[in-house]
Amino acid sequence: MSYNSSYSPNYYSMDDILATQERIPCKFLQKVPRMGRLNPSTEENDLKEGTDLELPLWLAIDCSMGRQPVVAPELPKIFKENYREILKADANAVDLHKFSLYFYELGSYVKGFDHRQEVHNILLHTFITRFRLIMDLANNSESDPSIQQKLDMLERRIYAAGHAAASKLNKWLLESGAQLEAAVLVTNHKKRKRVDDDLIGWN
Amino acid sequence: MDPDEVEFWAEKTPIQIIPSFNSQTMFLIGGDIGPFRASIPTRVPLWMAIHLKKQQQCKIIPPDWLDVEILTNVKEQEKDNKSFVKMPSEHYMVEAKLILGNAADDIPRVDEIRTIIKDIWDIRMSKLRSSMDLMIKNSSMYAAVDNLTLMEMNSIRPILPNALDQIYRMKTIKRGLTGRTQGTSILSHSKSTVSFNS
Amino acid sequence: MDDTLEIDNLAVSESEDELSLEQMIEVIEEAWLNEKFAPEILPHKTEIVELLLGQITHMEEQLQQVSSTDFKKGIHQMELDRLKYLVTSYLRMRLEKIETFFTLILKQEQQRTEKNEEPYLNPNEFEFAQEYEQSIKDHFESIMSFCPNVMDTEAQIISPNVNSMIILKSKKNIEGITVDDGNAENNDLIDLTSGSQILINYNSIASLLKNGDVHLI
Repeated sequence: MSYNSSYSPNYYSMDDILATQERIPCKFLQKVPRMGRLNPSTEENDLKEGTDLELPLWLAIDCSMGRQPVVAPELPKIFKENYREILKADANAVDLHKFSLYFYELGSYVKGFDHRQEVHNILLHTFITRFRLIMDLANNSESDPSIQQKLDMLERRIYAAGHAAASKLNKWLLESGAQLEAAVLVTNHKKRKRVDDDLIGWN
Repeated sequence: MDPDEVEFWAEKTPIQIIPSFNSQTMFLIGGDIGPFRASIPTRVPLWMAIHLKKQQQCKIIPPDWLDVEILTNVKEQEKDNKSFVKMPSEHYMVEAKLILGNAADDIPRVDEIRTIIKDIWDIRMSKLRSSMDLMIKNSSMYAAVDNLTLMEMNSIRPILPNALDQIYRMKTIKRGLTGRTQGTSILSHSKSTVSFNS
Repeated sequence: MDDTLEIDNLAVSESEDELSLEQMIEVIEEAWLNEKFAPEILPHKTEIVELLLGQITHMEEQLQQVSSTDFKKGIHQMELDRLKYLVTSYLRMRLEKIETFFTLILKQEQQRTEKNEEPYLNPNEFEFAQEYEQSIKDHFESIMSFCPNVMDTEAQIISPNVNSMIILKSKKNIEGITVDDGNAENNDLIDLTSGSQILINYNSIASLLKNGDVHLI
């Protein structure tokens, strides 16, 4: 939509449908008759209680609800402590796309499984830390396109919207017969850093 | 908002011209303009001034602030201040672009002016980038943007509001078991209409 | 230069509380900006839109009689083009919102009717919304016949994100706006002075916008 491109999932969001296709580890709490074929490591007819299987998120959530849940969903490994430590150490260095295409969306769904709010916190920490990276990428038309590959889908959306707007602005600045601007957005990095460091300035 | 749309808004700004023709008052829908007397300054909207200039029917009198000394002073203040300085005109970038682009022959020291305006814009863009970064780092959900001009506000859109929207979402979603989207609701819906039991 | 061209505007009644044409244009300009940035559809401005459109038509008719060599014709034409862009772009943004949020908008219109409140849509927009909803329903029914009642669930209603961030300009001094920052407790209160500009969550100021105390930019 032209007036507001911010991602806010609804029933028809492809990104939301794809995010809920991601598989998460689950433990079966009950025996499920005639569903043994879901488990590729066994020939048995029934799915036994205690089996560990990865299920798509949409199914896992539905089967874990109610008074007698069929499965107990667990946190995907990318939200477990080892991975959280990597993100805490330097979120900018991480190839988030490799963690998950839908790191933030998946995280928002599964954060309910973690009662200590660690997942909630790491989602915010990661997003906040990586914003500068996305902003610089969006503003800098000469940056290495491969960096884009390291963004998750939510970050890519923000990057794409920001980049499109920055390109339009740059074109507007350049198209003036006055040559008012020469590539403002790709100004010398050293110079920019110096000015930035002086500033704490939002009034 | 596209830069062209910002330009559209800015083109309403009144500006003085010296017409090279005589004409009675024009009754435009947006108000009366004129009368025009050759060599007598009169005030018109910027879009009309540029139109007349292109047809060589007027000279444009630059606004007071489109001046090397004044702009140099603005630039120095902008450099010395951590926050944003109030600009001499709400649409300084658009006005400068249109006037310098179409009426350079009416402006003294036009190249110097171009350089200074570019410097001011660059300093402010740089401040904006650090302010945006700081706002996200603090997850501030509001900010005063008093001295930003429309084109500058436009330059932080959509990236800053979009990123803040996502932070708000991440702070507020209590998902897990209560999603309202297709992924989590289709089954609960289907149960009432379709039976999965074999 | 040709001085014979005489163009005037339609007589607009001059009573005290009526808007001048210039003020009407300002109202639509503000409405355009508000509609551009507000996530939800806002109350319509049909009376003013129609007065302006009438003015535009009147001017176009007059212009047809003006020789195209008259330089003033070009200026009138430019003004008309600008106004037409303003009005059509405004109406198109509203249609875009109606197409996206039709179910919710129709539901809210019905609630407004029940509460005897002013509708947000004008009669044409309302008719468009109803027909749009019907054609979507027909379409789903024809392609989704294997899954009945496919348009029935609450979850399928698409709603605008009313928590999205917007920038506003205040038209007067306003005290005590509660900023919804996503944390349930300790919401900050802020005061605005007339003319101040602020980046804030739409939900925190939606009622101020509809009252006309602030406008979006």
